Amino acid sequence: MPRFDRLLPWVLPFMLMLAWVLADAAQLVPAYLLPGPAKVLEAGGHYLFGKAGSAPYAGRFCSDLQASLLRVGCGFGLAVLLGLPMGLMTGRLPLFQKLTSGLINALRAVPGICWLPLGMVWFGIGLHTTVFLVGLAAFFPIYLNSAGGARQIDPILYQSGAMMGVGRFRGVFAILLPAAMPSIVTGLRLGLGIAWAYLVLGELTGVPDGLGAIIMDARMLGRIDMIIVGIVIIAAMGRLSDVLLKAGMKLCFKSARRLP
Amino acid sequence: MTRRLRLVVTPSGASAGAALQAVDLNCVFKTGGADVKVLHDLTFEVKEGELVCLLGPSGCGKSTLLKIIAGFLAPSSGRVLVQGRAVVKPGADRGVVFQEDALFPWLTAAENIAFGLKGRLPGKALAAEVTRYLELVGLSPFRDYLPRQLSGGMKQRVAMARVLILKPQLLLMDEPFGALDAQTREEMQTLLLSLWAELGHTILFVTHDINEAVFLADRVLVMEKGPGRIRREMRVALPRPRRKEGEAFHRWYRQIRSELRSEDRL
Repeated sequence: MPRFDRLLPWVLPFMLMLAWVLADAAQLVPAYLLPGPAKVLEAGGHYLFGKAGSAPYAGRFCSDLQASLLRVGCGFGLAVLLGLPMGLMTGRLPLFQKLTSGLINALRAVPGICWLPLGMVWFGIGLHTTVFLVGLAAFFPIYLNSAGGARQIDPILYQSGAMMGVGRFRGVFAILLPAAMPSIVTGLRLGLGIAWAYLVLGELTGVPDGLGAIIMDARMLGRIDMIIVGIVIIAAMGRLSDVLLKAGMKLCFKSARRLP
Repeated sequence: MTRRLRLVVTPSGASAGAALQAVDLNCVFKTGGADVKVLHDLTFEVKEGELVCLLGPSGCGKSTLLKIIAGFLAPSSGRVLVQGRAVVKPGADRGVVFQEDALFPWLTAAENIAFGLKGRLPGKALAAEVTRYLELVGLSPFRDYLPRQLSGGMKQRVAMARVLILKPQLLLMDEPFGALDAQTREEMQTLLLSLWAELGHTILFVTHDINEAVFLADRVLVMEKGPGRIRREMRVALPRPRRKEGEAFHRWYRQIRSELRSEDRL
């Protein structure tokens, strides 16, 4: 049975592929709505490995990926830098919670898209607007989860530390952070996922490069195959970054390594 | 009146050999409108090297008293002195073993035990100390286990080792074996006595189990509730090692039980 277990995650994607292949072979769907797998694969091949100029979009993958990674990285980094300490403080210090949580929860109710026009006016089109959007969107899950994690720490852990002579400063790193680690990891993973979503939003505004820009560009040119290629690549990058994030946290923190 | 007089003669410093003094402790919890008096004019002493049990029904404030001595809670009035120094906050001179699981779940048994000494001893000396205390509590084979992989009794062994390694002047134990099964509880009581014999620290042990108090204590402070105060102090004149079977043991058991019962009738 374990072998079957391992195959299980691939069953649905496989069936989806199969349906796609069959639909293409039977010509159930016109190609201008959904091109066949072969066409999409070919477009993907050109995009990923083709020499620049040999076909439309050929050879752009590396520069697009680089641009998108920079935007996601900066936005997510900003969100971590602000969200994590603010979240932990909110969960730990009742006064800080009173000060911040009203405003932050009000802002949280605003859909991220609403910030797009403002971002474009403030920062123009390109890196800054996208970083702004990504950072803003990723901030909330990171903030909320680290606040929840810090709030739910059993006071007995702090008491244990105090009676073993642990001061406030060491307490933050030796007790607060590791005890809140499960929620912190959850918040970071959610934040990173949302970061990719808002990357596309930020790049839909007419920036010349990036994985989201490709999708928008391909829509204008009616290249449905390239849209699908872009979607698959973003899905793969999102998944890969999640795996890397988890592995990185485990590498750096004992408490992340030893999550139950 | 007599108690007041005794206080006057006892200077603010330690009386000779007192590891712990509680002087006129009062504790009032403010819950909504009504004030609940939890502790009322509590005064007692624990001598150096003594094992004293605080025995009382649940709700008599014995855990609150322990929290005040540990420094987790400030009394409404009165003072706690540990070796003559007033308690103002928690400190490594007063090790606490909690009733519930209070180990750090992300650290192994050995790392939990090393926690308090980390950074205060060079790595090698620390490792040697940890090994020694793991051995003392009989957990050497489990040094790299995480708390969730240990049984309740093993966790309390780690909890004891992690404070004993700090060589506290006073060990405060808040019903540490209350959540364990009967057999494990007896093992732990025996272990506690052997550690006490070897390390010679002072112990204040909170329990609601008469049997446990008679087995462990040099002295039993019987508490009553509403508000919590010390009803009687009894010196358990049973020779050690004690056995729970003998007639003498049962006589003490009955005597303390009648003391607790008479409180129920009030």
